Amino acid sequence: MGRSKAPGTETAIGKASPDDPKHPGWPKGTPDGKGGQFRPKTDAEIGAETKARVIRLAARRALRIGALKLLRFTLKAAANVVPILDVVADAAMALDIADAVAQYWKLATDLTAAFDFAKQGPHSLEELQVSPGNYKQFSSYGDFVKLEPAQAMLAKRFGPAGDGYQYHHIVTQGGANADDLPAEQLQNTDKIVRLPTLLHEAVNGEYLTPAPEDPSISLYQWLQTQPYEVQREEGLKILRKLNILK
Amino acid sequence: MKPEDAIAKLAEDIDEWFEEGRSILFVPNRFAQGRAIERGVAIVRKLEQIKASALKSLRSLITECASAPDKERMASLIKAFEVAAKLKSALHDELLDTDGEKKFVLLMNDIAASLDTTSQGRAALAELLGRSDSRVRAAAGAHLLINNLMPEHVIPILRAIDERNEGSSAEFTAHWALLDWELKQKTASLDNGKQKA
Repeated sequence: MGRSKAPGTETAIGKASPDDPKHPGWPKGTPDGKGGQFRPKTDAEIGAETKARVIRLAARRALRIGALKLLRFTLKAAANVVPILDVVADAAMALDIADAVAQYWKLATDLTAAFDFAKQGPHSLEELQVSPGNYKQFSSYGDFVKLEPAQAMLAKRFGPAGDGYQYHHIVTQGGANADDLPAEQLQNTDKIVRLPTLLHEAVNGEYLTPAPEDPSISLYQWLQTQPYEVQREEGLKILRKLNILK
Repeated sequence: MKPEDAIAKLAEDIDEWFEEGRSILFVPNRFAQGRAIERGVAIVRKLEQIKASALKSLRSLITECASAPDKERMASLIKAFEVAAKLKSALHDELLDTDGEKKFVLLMNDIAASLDTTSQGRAALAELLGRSDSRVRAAAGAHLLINNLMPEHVIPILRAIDERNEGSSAEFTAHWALLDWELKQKTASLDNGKQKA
C-alpha cells in the first residue's frame, strides 16, 4: 500500500517532478520558466489519489478490526491459560492462526479487486449498475440476489457480486427504511450497484460516523429520517466524494 | 509526538505489517505466522492505548478547568476542542475508526456544553475558524452552525471545505453540517408558509 499525507493536514511538501503523481511538476522547457516547478494536480490525479487512499483506509480498518479481535482473544486467553512456553508459542497456540491467515488472504483478494477497479478511474452510475437501462425491481434483496444458480439463470437475476465485490444500496435497505419504504423502492436495479468490497466498506464507514446534530445516532440512522429523494441524493454524493462515482 | 501524529505513524505501521505479512503469513510456518500476528496485535494495542490516554487527558482537563477563572477556562476548553477535533479526524482519515471517532465527537459535544457555562458560550469556538487546519475549522464551524450561531460567517468556510472532494473527515463534517442546516431552513420556511396560509 502506498503512502500519502492525510487530507486536511496541509503539510505535504516534496520536490516537483513531471513523473511524480504526488508532487507533479512542469517538465523542463515549459514556457514562462515554469519547468521544474509544481503544477496543480488535475481532477483525475486528485480522484486517483483519493480513491487509493480510501482503499488503503478500508484495508487498515479491516486489519485493525481483525487484530483487535485477536487482541481481545489473547487478553481473555491470558487470563485463563497457565503460562507455558514463550509468548510467541503461547500466542501461536491461543490464536486461531488459520482463521487469521484466511482473513488475510481474503483481504489480499479484496485489495486486488479494489485497486483494479480504481485503475479504471471514476465510474458513471450506469457502469456501476448491474442492469443499466433495463430497470427491474424486486420484493426483497433475496429476490434480487437469488443465490441459487439454477434459479438465477432462469429468472435472469443477478447472483453474488463476485470475488472481492459486494452489492451496495444507494438508499440504505435496513433500519427504519425497511419498515418505512416499499421494498421495490429499495431493491431495484437503479439503486443497487456493484462495488469492490473495500470501497463498499469505506462507504459503510461514512454512514457509521456520528450524525451532525445528534452524535448518539449514526449518519445511517439520521439520513433515514429524511425524505427518500434526500437519501438518494446523499447516497450518490457519498460515492462522488470518495471518487467512486463521476 | 502529538497523539494525532502517533495515530498516523501507527496507521503506516499497519500498512508495513500488511506488506510484511504477504511473505510471512502465506508460508506454512506456525511460529513465523504467530510472530507476524503478534506484531499486528501490538500495533493495535498501542493505538488503543493512545486513544484511551488522549480521551482520559482531555476528560481530566474538562474537569480540572471547571473551577478556573472564566477566561482561563474558556482557553482550556477551546484547546481541548481543537485537540479532540484533530484526533477525531486522524482516526477517520488514517484508520476509518468510526467507533474511536464517535468517542471524540461525544467528547467535543461535552466540551461545547461546558463552554455554554462560560461568558461567551459556545460562540467562543469562532476563534478556531481562523486555524490553518481544516479539520479544526470544519469541526468548530459545524458546532456553531448546528446551534445557529454566526451562519453568515461559518457557511462560506464550511462550503470551501465541502467543495474539496477529497473524501476527508473535514469535508464530510462540513458537508453534513451544511445539509442539516439547509434541511432545517427548508422545514422552517415550509412551516412559515403554512402559518401564513
